[in-house]
Amino acid sequence: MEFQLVSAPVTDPAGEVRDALLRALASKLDGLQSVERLVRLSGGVSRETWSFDAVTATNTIPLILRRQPRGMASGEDLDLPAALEADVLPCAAAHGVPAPRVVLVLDPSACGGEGFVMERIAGETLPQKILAEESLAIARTRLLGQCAEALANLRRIQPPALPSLPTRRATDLLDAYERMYRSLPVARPIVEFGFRWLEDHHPGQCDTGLVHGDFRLGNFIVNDTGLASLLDWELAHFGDPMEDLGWFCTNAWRFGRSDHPAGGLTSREALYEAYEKAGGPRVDPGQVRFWEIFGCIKWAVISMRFANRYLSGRQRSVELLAVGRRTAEAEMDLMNLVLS
Amino acid sequence: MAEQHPRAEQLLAGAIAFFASRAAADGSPRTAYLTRVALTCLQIVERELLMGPDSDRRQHARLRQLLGIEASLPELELELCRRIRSRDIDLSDPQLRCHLDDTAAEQLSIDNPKYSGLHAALSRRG
Repeated sequence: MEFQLVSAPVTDPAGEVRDALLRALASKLDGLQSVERLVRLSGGVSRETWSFDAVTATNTIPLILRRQPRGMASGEDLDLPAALEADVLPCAAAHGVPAPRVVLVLDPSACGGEGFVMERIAGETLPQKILAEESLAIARTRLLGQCAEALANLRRIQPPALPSLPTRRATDLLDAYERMYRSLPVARPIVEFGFRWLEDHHPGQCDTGLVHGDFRLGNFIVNDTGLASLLDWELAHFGDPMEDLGWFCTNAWRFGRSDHPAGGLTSREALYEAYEKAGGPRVDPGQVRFWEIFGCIKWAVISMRFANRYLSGRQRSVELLAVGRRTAEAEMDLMNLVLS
Repeated sequence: MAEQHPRAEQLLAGAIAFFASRAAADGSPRTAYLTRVALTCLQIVERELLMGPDSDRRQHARLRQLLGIEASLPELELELCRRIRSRDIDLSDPQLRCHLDDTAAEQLSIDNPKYSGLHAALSRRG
């Protein structure tokens, strides 16, 4: 998606980014001549994602900048600082989880904020296209197995591999999302009910592993090899690996294929079987159900926060406003799960 | 704190403001997308104006029954939130669960009647 960036008299965000990239990459890339085709990709509130080409004498290198804009307080408690996200990627890749290669971590004082540069991988990210496009039919047959493998490999990564990465278990996450909900001027009985239900149905002893935190279509790059990369690692943490399976099965992320609970691809049973085959432990469906219900509450809170960005005047984009009315979807999903 | 979950008139004002600002801009995929979002807002408003008053009346009646007190709908909603939060109401109470289920289905009928979750609910409820 291309955008025309209009430079305003006082600030020129693209120019600022271009200058920062030239400074940062000059020492890293031999013979760097220019930064071309710089474009901000849509989406993301706490992270800016920019696509660009680094042109050297001999090469044109496709890259991505992930940036926490300077002065933007991370009101999202659970977001990792950009430098920590940059540590997670190579660790995941080293354990067989597809993640982009990090080229450079920015020096915040030199470059207008925290961020990092990573390789840009070719492929499709739009969920509807991944699920429907003829050209990706073969990729789709591989996708379940590759998702299951990624999840099983994520679980193998343990806290000593990333000492700065926080551990967040069910209680920590419920506290965080409830705090976020209570900071908003809204009162939703179904959301209140959901928080209390989750409090009463904590899973017992659980595993620890690396949790991606937003494992779903929309954050996958899929090309003809299948799952080429996982994106948007800013919610990563150590915790219960079933959290990722539950989020993957949350109805909001089936993109019209609601009869295929596992990410719009297949049945829950097929996902669990593939996960176990890839080396994951036997899945307790009750535990995944807890995390799926948690997923409903998490999405409900996120949708209310987006609406609040608009209503509070922070960001006047009509899509933020509209997403506030999607809370009802999450609430219905919650009731369907609890009552079934 | 003033209630800030999007009200019908706020959705309508937002959509209208978008169309107004768009007047001088060139068309682009982004603009087409935002136009669709704005239209979605208007469609929600339309359903809310049509179905909202009856839905509110039913919700109000259920809440008066469930909570056993007389007050306005917003006040009763707040009271229900308070009771759930402090566990002054039994979470397994079938009347509570039915009320929440009905509320979810009615709200979704206004906000997105095509959503799969609504069809699942209607099948489940029979």
